Amino acid sequence: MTDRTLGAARPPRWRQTLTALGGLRKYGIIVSLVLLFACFSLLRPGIFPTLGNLMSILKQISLLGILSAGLTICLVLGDFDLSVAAVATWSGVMVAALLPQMGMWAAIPLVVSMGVGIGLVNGFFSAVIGISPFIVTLATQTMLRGLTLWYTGGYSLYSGIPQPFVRIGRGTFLGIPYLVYVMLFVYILIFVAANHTAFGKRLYAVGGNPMASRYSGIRVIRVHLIGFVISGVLAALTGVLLAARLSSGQPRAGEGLLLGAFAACFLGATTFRLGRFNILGTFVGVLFIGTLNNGLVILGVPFYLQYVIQGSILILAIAASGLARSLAGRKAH
Amino acid sequence: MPEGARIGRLRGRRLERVGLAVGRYGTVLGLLLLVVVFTALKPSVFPTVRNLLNILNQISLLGICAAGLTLCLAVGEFDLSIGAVATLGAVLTAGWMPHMHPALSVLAVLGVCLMIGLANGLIITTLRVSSFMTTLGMMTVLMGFSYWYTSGSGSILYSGIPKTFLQIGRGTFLRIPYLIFVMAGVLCALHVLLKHSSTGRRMYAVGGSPEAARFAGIPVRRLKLLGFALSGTLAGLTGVLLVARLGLAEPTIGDRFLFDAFTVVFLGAASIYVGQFHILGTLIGALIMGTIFNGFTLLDVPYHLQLVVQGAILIVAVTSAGLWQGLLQSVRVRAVRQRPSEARSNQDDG
Amino acid sequence: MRASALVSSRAERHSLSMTLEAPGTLRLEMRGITKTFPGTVACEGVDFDLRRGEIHALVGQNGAGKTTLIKVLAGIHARDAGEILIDGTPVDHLTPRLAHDLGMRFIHQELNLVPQFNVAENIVLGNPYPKRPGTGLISWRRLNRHVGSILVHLGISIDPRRSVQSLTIAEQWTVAIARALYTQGQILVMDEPTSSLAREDVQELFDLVRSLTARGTSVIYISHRLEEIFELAERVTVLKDGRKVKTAEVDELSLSELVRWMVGGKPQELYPSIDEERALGDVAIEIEGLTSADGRIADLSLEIRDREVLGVTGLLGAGHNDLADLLFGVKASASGRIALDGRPYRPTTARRAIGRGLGLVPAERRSQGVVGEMRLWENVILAHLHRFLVDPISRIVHRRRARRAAVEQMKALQIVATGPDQEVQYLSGGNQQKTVLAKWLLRRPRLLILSEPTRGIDVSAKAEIYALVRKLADEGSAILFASTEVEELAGVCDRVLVLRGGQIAAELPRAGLTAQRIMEACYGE
Repeated sequence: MTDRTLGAARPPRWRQTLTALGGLRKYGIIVSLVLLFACFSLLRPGIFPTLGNLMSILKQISLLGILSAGLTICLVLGDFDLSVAAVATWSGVMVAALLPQMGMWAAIPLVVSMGVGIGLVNGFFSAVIGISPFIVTLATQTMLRGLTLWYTGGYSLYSGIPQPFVRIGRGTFLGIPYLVYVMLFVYILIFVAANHTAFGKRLYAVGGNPMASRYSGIRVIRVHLIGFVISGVLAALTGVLLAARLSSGQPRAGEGLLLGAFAACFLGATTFRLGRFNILGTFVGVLFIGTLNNGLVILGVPFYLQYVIQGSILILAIAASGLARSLAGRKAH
Repeated sequence: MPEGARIGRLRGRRLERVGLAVGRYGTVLGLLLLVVVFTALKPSVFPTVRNLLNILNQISLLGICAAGLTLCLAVGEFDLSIGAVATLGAVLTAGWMPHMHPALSVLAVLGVCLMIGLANGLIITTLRVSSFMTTLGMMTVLMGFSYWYTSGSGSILYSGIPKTFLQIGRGTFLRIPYLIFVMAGVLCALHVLLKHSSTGRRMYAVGGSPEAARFAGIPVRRLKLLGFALSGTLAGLTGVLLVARLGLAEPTIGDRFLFDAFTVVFLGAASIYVGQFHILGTLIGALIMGTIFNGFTLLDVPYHLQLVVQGAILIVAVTSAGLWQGLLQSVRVRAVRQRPSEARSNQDDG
Repeated sequence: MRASALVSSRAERHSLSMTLEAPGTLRLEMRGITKTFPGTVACEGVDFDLRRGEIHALVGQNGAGKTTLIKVLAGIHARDAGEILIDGTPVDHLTPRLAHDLGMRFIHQELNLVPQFNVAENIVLGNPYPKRPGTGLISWRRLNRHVGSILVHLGISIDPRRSVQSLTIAEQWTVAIARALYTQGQILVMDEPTSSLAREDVQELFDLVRSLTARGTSVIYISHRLEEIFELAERVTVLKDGRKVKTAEVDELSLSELVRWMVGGKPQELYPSIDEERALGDVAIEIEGLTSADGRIADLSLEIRDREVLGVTGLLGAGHNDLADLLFGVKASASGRIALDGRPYRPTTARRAIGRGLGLVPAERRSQGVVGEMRLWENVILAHLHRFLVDPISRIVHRRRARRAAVEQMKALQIVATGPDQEVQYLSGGNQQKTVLAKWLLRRPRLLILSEPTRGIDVSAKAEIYALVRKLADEGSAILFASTEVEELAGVCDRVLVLRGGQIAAELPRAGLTAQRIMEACYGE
């Protein structure tokens, strides 16, 4: 394909407009988010667009957000990590079990290092041995679910949780919940890591073309391992914070998170860098899901209808991005 | 090429055969191992015909659901909505059957699930979007719908289901439960479709290399639609039969089928025709799962341990199949082959 | 139904006269074909016609529109304007299925085989399977027999039950040919058929093509190897920037004229002049007894000096590309001793190779050379990320320095792009290759290894790369040039090693180095 546009035959006007519109779809989710916000504000003007409610939204999405950030890194590499929710649940249970015995400063790092361990296991079987990550993480999440059930016997663990720990989950600083600070911190860290550091370049290189990365001296296996470890660590962190929020370790805590995390990451891949997973996009995706949930609850929509609406919006978002892509046409190789 | 290379070639071939055998039959061996172990531990109960029928009965629904998924995966697409479709199928069956002829309600439910499968397929093939995400969204929608549909009756539907229908789920013919016949029928039909019909082979072509299939004039879109239609319909059938077996429906009834079916199909892809999704392998996977469940129940091992073992077996099976395949690759490269033209010339080189 | 295909191919043997019409009538006519993609016009008003039984070559630089034209003909892309006529009848709404039914057969550059299938199923792909009578199920025995006889008829001795993944590239190509010829076709289109074939296979291919045209099949032949055009084709059409420049009888054209039509300007000197008396530097790398783990290289010993361009070649499978991968640490070695600047060097990983100052331009540009989705500057610094950090603790990349380095390289290598931020996938093949080179030129490489560096690249970019290679050598680097294009080896190298079976069969010095001599040495005459 020649690099330059040939002057003589320019595509017709209507096509040019569509191409331009197609270029705009980068910001589709943001536009939808704004529209959503406007809708809810109009419907419940006194309740929805208040500072308190906005804080509430941010607080509600903080855990999903942290989980999704880690998952994004794996997805950039093309690794589907299905175990994130199970790791979070397990970590929540573990931290609740260990806190009474060890105290916060020992229990939390221990649990987070378990997340590292699980990430390494996932990474080992998928990157080193070569099994599809879908299968590996399917297996690990099954095993973790079993272990969680075994340890808790189906019951929640809520005795011996120290107050300072609970305060992490419930407390605020300058009116903003601690959880939100953690989420923002995580996002800034991961954003910088993925977009501005040498590791981030390697990450996207391996995700884009593993062979070429290898020929450039990048240790591909190591990058995959680090990706899984990041995902595992953030999942573990999510679990710890979940336990703090609930003041207990619950064996069914993480269930809705898997769906939400993947949805957020995929929604994010339709933003900013089209078709590619990116941290900023995931953040917008998480915001979108949180805003939607919050608004529906305020509107008093029963929870089952929430599911229907969420799912439909997800499908619509996918359909819209696919449609925009077809209309704008694909760049030929 | 000196003698050393020639010997290398021969040795390679023998090792290749051994490796092939182990890699391919690893899961079958694993299954046999399980049988042996359980027989040893419960010799009076486990290895009986009655128990075997038990196992088959237990996996019959999972087998049906997994068979549909096998075809979808063969065509190269994920269907994450099968659990939710099964739930919906069960819920609608329990809801409609009291009000209309049982056969009619079953057909209606299957029709709905077929539509859902086609909807999935149409969105994915027309707009060329990710099947993972689309079926994820569909799953969420259907979940909500099932909850909504059962909310009026306090979440469990169980009244008004005719006895004749329940007979299907619990009755036997020549001492063999009807459900096993249904599963056998479905598996046979799909096996023949996938392995011996041109439609099935073309589905594999689409899954293996969509570009090659398209350039060869194969109707890629139609075949993908077929894949989704089958996985949706069979998931729906699973739901229908769930009601037949249990006599009730509630909005999480089909959830476990999602992960279980995927596990079973992947176990199958590590068996016999390693790397391909196929019905025989899916059957083996289902048998493994069923045997574990059965054996553990007999041994009074709690459910959570089963989950752990299930996950472990999946990893072990796929790892060993993968390792052997990898080994085969390296052996192949070592045994340098003669090209036809070289073979024709008299020169003594590699 | 497909018995008729078999009958026809048997009939071919008896040279059944299928040419009922007079020879020379137009089999195919493409008039005013225009195809645009967003941002570019790939083809504009292109005319192309094909006579019965002729071999018509289609040439042009990268981006000239050849592959697009072919894909329009194959029904893969829908044309924006223009007509296509087959035997005088216009055709609308072309799809791959329709193109096939109209008698057109295509072998695209990517081969498009299904990796999970065996040879038989790949050959039959898209065509009906032979069925068991009465049941509609596939008869595997009949399939294998059909396919087996076709393969024998074509002189291909591959077992139809073998998995295609176990075949070599050349064997896969023969399977693709067999697939194209499985059912009777009137037009055969081949896109870059010889880029993965060795010399002797190329001659077999030529014989096959000639036998096909003798029976009335028309062939469209796309290739970058201009010498093949002169050997095989009757007519040639030159495309440039999406437009047709010229159609001419091959006999009436000379090589330099052809190049001029393709490039549009004064005929270029493709190869820089080399002073045979120039002095070489010290020994840069010394290799003794190198053997690869898979046995393709056995007990190889050689040395390369500074300022020397050493060529390595051989027939397919002889090991010259393996040598490149071995030295760079991408392929495992079983034994041998290598000394780099007198110090021992063990090529275990690519990282280590890079650390010792090696660079490798790999043979497969798209799959091994560049990360298409990343920007130009990101690709350029990819092998030396540690040198563009703001500080070692945060490991943040110094974007400005990196972009500046990329811009320098763009100027030095004349890379055509909208800027250092352009994603590499949108560059032409030649510019992508230059980006790969730029990656290694950030710091003068101790030893630069080039593996098939000009494969699939247009003429002017080739010339630029050859000049660059010589310049690097003059500035002191040692260069290993592995290639199967004997012409460029003769044009660029100081010395050429010919490998056979993983060992050195011949060493040809600069004096009297010609493509002819290299080719002869490959065959061992």
